[in-house]
Amino acid sequence: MAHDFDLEHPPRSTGASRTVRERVLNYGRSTPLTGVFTYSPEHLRADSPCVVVLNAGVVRKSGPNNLNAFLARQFAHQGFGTFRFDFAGVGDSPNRQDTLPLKQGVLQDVTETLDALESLVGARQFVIVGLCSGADNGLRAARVEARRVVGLAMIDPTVFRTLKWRLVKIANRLGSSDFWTRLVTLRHRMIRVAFDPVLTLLGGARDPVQVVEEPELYNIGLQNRDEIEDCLREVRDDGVALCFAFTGGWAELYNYRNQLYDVYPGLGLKGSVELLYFPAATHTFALAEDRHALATNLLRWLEQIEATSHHRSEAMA
Amino acid sequence: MTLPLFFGASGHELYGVYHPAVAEGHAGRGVVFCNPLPHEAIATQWAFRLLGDSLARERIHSLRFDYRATGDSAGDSDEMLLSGHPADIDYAINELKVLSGVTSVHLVGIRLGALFALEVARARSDVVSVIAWEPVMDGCAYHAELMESATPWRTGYCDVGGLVIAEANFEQIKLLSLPAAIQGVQCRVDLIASPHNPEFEQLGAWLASSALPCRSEIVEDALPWKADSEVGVAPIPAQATRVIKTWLTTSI
Repeated sequence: MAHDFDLEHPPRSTGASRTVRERVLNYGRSTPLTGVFTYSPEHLRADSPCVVVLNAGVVRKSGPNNLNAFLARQFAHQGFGTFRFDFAGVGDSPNRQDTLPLKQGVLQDVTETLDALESLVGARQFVIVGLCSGADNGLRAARVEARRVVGLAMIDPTVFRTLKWRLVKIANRLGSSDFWTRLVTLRHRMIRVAFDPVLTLLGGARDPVQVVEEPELYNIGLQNRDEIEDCLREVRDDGVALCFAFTGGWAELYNYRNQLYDVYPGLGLKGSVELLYFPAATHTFALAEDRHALATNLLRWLEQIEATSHHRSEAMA
Repeated sequence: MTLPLFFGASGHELYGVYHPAVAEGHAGRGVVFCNPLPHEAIATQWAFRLLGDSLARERIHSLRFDYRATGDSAGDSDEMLLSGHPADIDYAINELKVLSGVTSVHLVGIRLGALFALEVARARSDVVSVIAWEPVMDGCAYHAELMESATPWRTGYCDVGGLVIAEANFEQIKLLSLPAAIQGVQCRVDLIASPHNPEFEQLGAWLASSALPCRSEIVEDALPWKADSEVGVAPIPAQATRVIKTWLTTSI
């Protein structure tokens, strides 16, 4: 990666290590976008892919529990320049100033981000990392940017339940002391459901239902299984390395290590993708030890991508 | 139009976003926003962003920023020291003055951020007023509240709301209180509180009897810092932001 840092603001080092520096980049053709590029001047490898971390939902670019900033600094320590930014209308980037609908706007933001990183820091290859809706948006972006994107890490993306998921859920429930305690003390949900009509007749009040409206950004990813399968096949066939990570916080959708392979049996993902499973972690890796485990595993995967990329370059040469 | 930037001491730079006034007016008026603890700041960021945009249209410059080792500022969360927050506010005030040309500032602080703002106001002559938005009344009670959701991490650290905090900070929190923070402050102190905290009625009476120039307002908004920091979606505190805007555009 060639670097041209004749930019508006001086670089700075993080407190964690004086060797990791961060710089604000303001860019964007249609809407001014904002991001932070993190790198280590001593360790930055010229031909390493640049990692781009997408917003998780509408959480600002530092990420839920500062996860994105943490990952960026961990990656930078190991030589991977990493960029986290805010989509238009999220965090510190202003609302869209073009007329694109949100779904297309997100893709436009990614394209403009990769363009900016090419021209400002000389990056040529990119790895996209996204959590939750960020993972879904990352998949859509990798599809249109497969020429430049060499890797995609999807953390708790949209996924679908399987028959085994139901069996695991029942087994987990039956093995839970909480389930039996609630059942014995008549506090189990099923008992409440059974008695609810009686309580209502007797004048008892039901718990009020709280309707929480989700931001539109949560729902613009791929929702349809066939569409996602097609998309995964396409990006994999285009040579994009895929990494999936699932957490215990996603257990209502994903509750056993190899569920991914059962969701998409026709894709033959086993052996061709990196699959990480953190059953004890929350959806946003709230505990520090889980964040470290995620960073360690993603770094190992990034180094594999880098090695593959080198071999490919040498073969072409 | 905003300007995100890093500023402050080399190696410890702070990340901030400057909201320049859209036109001249309210000469010499600028606002620095002071965040609460980081797990609360994630959800309050949106309120400060909207307020900054709104004040810019009223021709008031503002700067919101992350304390060191929080948000996008330098340092990981386990390096965060509350004792350094007032110095960070100092840097932010100086930066806003350089960026905008204002000669004095107003500080708007939420929860613990209000107490740090008062500490800074006590030491500087260029702080015109402090707006304390639901300030922490009693550090011990607030500490107990934090401990309810804290998980021990490695020795000397706790995970609070998904962010690692050094235990040394908890000792400092226990020593903080709003009445103590107000002592010695010479500038105007305005207070926004919600009916969720009944002790504010006592405080309002105390403020009214003190020699401090002050205003207070009870607002019915949902509390943005209570929103789920994982989701990042917080209710917009419309009433509180309206009150703040009114105070800032009418204060002397």
